[in-house]
Amino acid sequence: MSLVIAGEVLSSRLFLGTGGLPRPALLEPVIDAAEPGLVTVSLRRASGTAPGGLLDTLRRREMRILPNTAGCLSAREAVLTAELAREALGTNWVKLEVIGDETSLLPDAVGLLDAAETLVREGFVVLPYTTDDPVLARRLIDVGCAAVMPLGSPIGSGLGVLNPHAIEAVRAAVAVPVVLDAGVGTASDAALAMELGCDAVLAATAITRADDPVAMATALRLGVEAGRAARAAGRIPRRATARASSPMTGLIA
Amino acid sequence: MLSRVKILGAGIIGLACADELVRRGHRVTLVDPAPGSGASHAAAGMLSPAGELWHGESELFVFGARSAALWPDFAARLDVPLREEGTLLAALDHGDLQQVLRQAELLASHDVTAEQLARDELLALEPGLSDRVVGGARLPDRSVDPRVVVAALRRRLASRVEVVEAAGDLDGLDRRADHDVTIVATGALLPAPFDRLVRPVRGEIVRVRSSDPPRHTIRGWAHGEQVYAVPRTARAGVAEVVVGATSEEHNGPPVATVGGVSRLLDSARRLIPGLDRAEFAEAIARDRPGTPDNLPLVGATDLEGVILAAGHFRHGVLLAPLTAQLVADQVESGHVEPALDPRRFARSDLTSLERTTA
Repeated sequence: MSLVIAGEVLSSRLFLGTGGLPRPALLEPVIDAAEPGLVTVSLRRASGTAPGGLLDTLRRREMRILPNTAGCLSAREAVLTAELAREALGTNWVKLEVIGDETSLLPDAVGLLDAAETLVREGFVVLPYTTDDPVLARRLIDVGCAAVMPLGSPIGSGLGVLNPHAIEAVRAAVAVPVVLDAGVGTASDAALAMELGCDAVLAATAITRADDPVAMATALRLGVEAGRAARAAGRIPRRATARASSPMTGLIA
Repeated sequence: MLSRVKILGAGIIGLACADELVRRGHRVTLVDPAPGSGASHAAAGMLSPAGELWHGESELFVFGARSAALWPDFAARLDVPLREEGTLLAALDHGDLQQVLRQAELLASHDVTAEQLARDELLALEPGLSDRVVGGARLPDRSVDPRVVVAALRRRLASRVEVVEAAGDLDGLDRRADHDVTIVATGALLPAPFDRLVRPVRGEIVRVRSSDPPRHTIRGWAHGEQVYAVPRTARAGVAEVVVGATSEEHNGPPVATVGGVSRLLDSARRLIPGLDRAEFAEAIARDRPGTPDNLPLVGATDLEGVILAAGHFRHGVLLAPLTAQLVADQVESGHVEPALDPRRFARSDLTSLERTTA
């Protein structure tokens, strides 16, 4: 079954962040390898409509673009950035980031809820980047967010999913899509997120700063697929003792 | 055969090309409304092919190393000093140190030895570094003051070339009565039809004056933020230190922002605490001319008589002497380096930014 956010069908459960790509020439091969369902862009970093620029390429490839409010340190900044992005990019979707401090880059829960409420009222489809807190996720959905994007670990850290229980709890708390955002370092992180019940995974630095971004894009696409398939397959319970895979009963002694 | 050459753009690339062409006997006209005021005016001047090496960019490294080898003669001709103290990579935490080691491994695969330094060794070489550094590495990369280079080139060329301080464009292409070849060296502002080949990548950069400057070029990671500090030679006990640089793709004019400058200075002070006492001198921003593959555009184009010397991105100062030689070779023999050939991007398909070969 396809992933649907705010009534829109997305073609893939891997979302691609573009920040940090060492060469623009890598963008198309990375897209080919990742086959992302959508691509996030920072309005601050995208060279607008410049020919041959990021947006130009994404539009030509007919990628769904999700503007983000990366780097915004207050609700007001984030709302302003979202409004600018809507005007510049012609989409009312926004990945909402309200950053609490520049060292941890963790979300500011209070500002996030505040900005989400404002943007929903203004007609945006809001996908908030949030902490892995089921209560906050619930509150974000209550004000009308279309999905939640909990972090696995801090942005760019590559530490993976540090608190799997919290991600499962977020999954259980909301009926909208859950997109694991931030912290993915390699393919197994993406697979784990999907096994925990996430509907999609966003990866940026994991791909763009890998030695070989194209190969890592392939690996993450496969990781997402593998994790989703495993979730659907139904894993065996974890147990503390061994259990032979061949039956021991009925054998001739 | 001697040529009459018009060069659009009198930054370090255009000036170096003019100098080389004049040395070889050609007649040169330089056209620029404000010579030397573009990216050359901002650049830190690290001659650092090793420090700039990244995965998938081996060709750029080879050209950088070739040009770095030309710099001592180039500088000597201009009577411009090179700083020979070398470059230190420095890390403030464990994650930063992994970045240093990753760079050292990459260099090793290119037969460059980055001498790894334990914390004590790093601090012994550069006592002004924060005592919180956890380790680093040493590279032989030199530096030069690009403003001094540009001034020396302009002085040297003043009596040898005609300088027209006006906006140059390509509209004279079909009326080439007064010149045989046009070289386009206008950095991030390429005229059509070449404008799609480069995109502006803003860099903000800060200059301070310190009585306690570092001795080496410091390329540091401060809790994940990359920053460099390039010292100039001290005069009367005070040295300029260049701290850079942000990197941002954008549409607007290149201006230094509060956020950019503050992040640079925060990271620099974390690495080199003594900079806290330095006098703040200047913050400026210029656009780097970025190409799809980070390699410059050097050679003939599909327009007859038009040669590009452009798209040098982060590497204009380093690559200036090599570019000058390649451009002069192109003018004289038509030789072009395939990897730098501006025609490597299909003109009919410029938006796709894919190489037509490889």
